[in-house]
Amino acid sequence: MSDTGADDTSTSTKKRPVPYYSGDVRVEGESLDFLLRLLDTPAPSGFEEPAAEVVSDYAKEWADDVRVDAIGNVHVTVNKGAAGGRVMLSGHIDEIGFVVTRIDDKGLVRFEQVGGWDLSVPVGQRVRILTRQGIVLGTVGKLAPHQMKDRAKAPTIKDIWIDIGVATPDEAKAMLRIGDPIVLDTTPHVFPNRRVMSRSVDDRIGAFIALEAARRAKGSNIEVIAMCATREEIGCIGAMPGTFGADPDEAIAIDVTWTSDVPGDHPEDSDVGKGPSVTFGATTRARIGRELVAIAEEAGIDIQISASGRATFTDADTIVRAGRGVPVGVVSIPTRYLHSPGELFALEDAEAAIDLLTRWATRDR
Amino acid sequence: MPNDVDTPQTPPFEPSAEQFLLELLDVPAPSGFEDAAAAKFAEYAATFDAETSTDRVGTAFATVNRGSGPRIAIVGHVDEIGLIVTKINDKGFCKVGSIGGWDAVVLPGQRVRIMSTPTGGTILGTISRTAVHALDQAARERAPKIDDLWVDVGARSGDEARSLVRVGDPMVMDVVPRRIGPPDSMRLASRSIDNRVGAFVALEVARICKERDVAAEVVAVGSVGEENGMGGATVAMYGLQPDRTCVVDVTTPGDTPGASDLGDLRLGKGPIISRGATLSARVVDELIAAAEDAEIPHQLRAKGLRTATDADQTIKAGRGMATCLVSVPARYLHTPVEQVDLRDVRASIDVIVAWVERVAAAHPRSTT
Repeated sequence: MSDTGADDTSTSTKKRPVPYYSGDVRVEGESLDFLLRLLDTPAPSGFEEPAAEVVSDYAKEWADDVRVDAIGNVHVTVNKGAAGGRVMLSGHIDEIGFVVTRIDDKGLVRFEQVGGWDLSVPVGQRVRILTRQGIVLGTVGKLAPHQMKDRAKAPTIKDIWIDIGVATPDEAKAMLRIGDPIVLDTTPHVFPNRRVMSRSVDDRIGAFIALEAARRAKGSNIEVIAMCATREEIGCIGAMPGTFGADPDEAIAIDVTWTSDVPGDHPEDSDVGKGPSVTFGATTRARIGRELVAIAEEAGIDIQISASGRATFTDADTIVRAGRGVPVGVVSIPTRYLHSPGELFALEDAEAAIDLLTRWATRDR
Repeated sequence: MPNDVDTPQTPPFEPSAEQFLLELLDVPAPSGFEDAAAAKFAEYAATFDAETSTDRVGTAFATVNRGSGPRIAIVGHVDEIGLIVTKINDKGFCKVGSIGGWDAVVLPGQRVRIMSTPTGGTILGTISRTAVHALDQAARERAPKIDDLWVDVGARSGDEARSLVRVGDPMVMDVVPRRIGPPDSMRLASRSIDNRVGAFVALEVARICKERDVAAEVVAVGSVGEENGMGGATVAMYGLQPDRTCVVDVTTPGDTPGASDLGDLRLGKGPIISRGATLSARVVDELIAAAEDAEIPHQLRAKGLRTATDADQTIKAGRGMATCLVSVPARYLHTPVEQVDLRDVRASIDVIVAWVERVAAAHPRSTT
């Protein structure tokens, strides 16, 4: 915080946190509207088309080229064919969710998870089921505490179901199909201090940052591709062929990371609102990390550092081995409550990341 | 039992096609040792004048109607699960390891065909474990593991055994494909239904598309290395760069005791079309629309994570392949008595042909 001089501003009487990021990137107006629309769009892994459409509509206004590849990754390019090199900024537009697997004989909807869930989280939530006829609302049910034999046991997928308010299986079958995707029914909320709470922050915020950095990079001597990747949550599947097709000289994956500013004993420090986190580790190229640190120092952008001994659990893990291999870095937005409908991050961290990545992408090579 | 089948009772295949299916099922070809199955695949493709080739890892290709329209790959893996000799001891017993995923409970008491290097042919063995009389109570209650088993090739010494088998020789269960059920039944029990049936469907789709002169370049792909995770399909798709990929495999229906969590999936109710996270939603919708328009019975299944088929591989091959998945319902997978209903096999062929025709009509003579 001292970098902003905020501690010395004794005249400040309001107790609201002072923004640490004082650069010229502001997520507001159309940019903020786009972010909130993107966060609200339901698109679990394998069913990303609605999110891809929202991205395409926004990017076609300013990009040189917007292309959807064979498995749904959206490639948004500025400065196409520029002589200074080609870099890729990648964030994934899929989110965790569920799919309908069967309708039982009571008309209750049984489902399977898409991506990694703590199954205590969906219990009691309302869900949106994406059907051919539009969104069907449901609620995740489970036995009431009074009926449970063992209250200490965490629920498994066999213990929960979705109730769509029907009385018979035939009614349910008329409304939805096996394989219809599902997300929790929550909408994004912006707190007065510019922190945002939503589902799908993991990783629409990464895709958003990639897009905004590319938009700001327009006019430079570097071809910048913002890739909005698919199927990360089921094993980083989309980014590998996407990177093969984009064929960048180097790349940065932008994702979210857990934080230590919540109760519990944490092995490393990572706080919401203290800046984007730059990863050093076994998958990432150290040179890219050092470049990001140097740019941040020079520009006065606060960052945090994280270490990763093995995989990063981001698309960087597959970008690095796409095609002949791509040097890759990871920039993460500290986000509380990952894989829940209350994922929470600070807009300032996103703004700082956009600034940092624009500078990195457009630097002379 | 009431007849639970929607499809007609007529014999589903030409006699020559059914004969080929039985021969293909009988070829021993565990993962890593698929050459014989790939050769059989090519032999059938030659009967309808497809262009045949193989790639460096052994996958077989049969191409028809080259250049006539979008390139559509139909992928069925030709490898099967099996066992491999890991050690021959001085008493002549062979220890074995798993090729692919076995439930070791099905193994003791089976006869095996070993693809023997020393003899250059096939030799017979039996899979054995300690006789029940000699097992203590704890051992009787525990499911056997592969480590508890050995293969007996009738040798009287280690040297005699080594004259019959070599470390690394693969084997399959010694069973032959048999029709099962009443005389009008269309059910077939065999080993290697997973996934010779898929390879057979791919070839039949190519044959019919050639016969009907469909404006699509159809490539039947008999991929290798599915059961051991090697993923020959990835390599194959990288080389082919198809506009659409349909993976054909088998899947367990929910109509056997204790399998109710698998829902309404039934043997004899038609091919199972999967929707899910490793598939291309748009292509899956094309397939479902084709099935609905042609009024071909089919079933839907959802997979939130992986499909555990070649589709998990093809989707990320090269620049990414637009992929869908058709599964033939098959009971008792990964046992020597895998069971299919031939009408489901027939309907799987029909649904894929209808889809190919639909894609061809929508994308005349262009890539999509």
